[in-house]
Amino acid sequence: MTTLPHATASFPAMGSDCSISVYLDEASPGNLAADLAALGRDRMEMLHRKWTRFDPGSEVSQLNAQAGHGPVHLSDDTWLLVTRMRDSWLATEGAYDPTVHGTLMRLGYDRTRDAISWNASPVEPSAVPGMQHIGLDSRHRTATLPEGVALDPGGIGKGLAGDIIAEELTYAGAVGVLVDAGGDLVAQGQPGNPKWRIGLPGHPHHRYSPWATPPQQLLLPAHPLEKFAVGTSGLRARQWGPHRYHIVDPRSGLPADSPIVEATLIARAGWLAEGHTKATLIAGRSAPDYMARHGLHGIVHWADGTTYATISIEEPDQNLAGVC
Amino acid sequence: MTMTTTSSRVWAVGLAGATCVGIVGAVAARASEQEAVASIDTPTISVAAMAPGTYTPAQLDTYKAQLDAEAARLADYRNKLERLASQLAAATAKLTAPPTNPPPISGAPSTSTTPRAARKPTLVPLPAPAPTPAMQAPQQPASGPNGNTRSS
Repeated sequence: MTTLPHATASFPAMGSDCSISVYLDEASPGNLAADLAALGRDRMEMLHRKWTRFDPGSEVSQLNAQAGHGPVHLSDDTWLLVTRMRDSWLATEGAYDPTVHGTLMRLGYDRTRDAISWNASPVEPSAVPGMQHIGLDSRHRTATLPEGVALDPGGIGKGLAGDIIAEELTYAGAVGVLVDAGGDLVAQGQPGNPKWRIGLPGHPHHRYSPWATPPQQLLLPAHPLEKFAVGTSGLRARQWGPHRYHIVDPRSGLPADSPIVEATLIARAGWLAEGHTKATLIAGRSAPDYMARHGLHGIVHWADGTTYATISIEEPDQNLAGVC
Repeated sequence: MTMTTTSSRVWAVGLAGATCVGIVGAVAARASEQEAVASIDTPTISVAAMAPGTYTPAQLDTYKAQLDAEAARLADYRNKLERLASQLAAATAKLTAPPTNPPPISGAPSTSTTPRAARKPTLVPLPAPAPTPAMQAPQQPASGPNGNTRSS
């Protein structure tokens, strides 16, 4: 184990508490680690301003506002976001679908998590238009949304932001970068140690009880330049009424009615981890089949208190084998 | 990309794409009574089909200013990133340089400013993995009793 010059920047962004840790090689001045971490924070805040749906002036809000009015040219960052939405939709067989935006609005998730108020009224299903209706022109980098369709960057924005920042800071010379975007983690390179140590919560049902299970340490191999991501989705994380959750099943047009309370998965990219965790959660009892079919590794906590895991706390070297 | 817009009042909004470093700018172009031509650096698309009243001229100008500001911030970020990459490369080169320098090759740069990640990565010898309970990496510790993964 080598103690490398490192620094961490912690700040609020994308509706979450974020942090960026940067590790430099031994020969590097330590103050540059702090400078790089601060630059990473700036980058995260830029992406937040472009992608937030709670600011009518953001690029995503402007794109949504143009639904039904023809193609809109996108910046590089937002073009990447929209194409990753499509890729995630394809990879998850449609279980992840960013066009749930309208349904979320109708459910009352039309403001930030902190500002949303409890709503006990019954939930009505609302059709999800589907990503297949979004026109993407790669030559001109335009997106065309049909009337009444809007995109919700949601968690995929956080995962993709982690990917972008980890790659850019690595390009600048960091030997290790860890981006934590509200629980969606992207790690690249090495922290002066052959393993990244990721803290996992105990079972969500035990989280706030006096007999809480202690957090587990998930160890994942760290290799120069290599990147992996850990995504976590849970129904209880954002709930503002009975059956009012932020994860919507596009097939039913209703919040996911899943026996899974939380899923944590490992993938090669933040955007992909995010899509797969949502799809796993929506898969419910079929989650183990879904994970096996897509070669996914992770931990699923069921509402009955049991856990399904395909990653090993004891044998971390096996944890990235075959990760998609 | 070159594009012409209509003769009557046309509002065009676009996001400009960028240069070799991937900088993306944003432009909103407003033309009236004559044809407008967008250069390759400022690809512009017409949203003439936009419903009347969707945006006022003032709103479009505000949006353009906002996009311009974001583009400037991104350019500034890229510049700072390049500068830090150069500083890191220089610091490493300084500490790993041999005690006596060979005569410089004519025309060759004296110091590399290539970002280090662009060079061939150097594998450092890794220590034998320690037993799990003793692993204390100098990395971000688990944040609080619930670890550093959270539902999103």
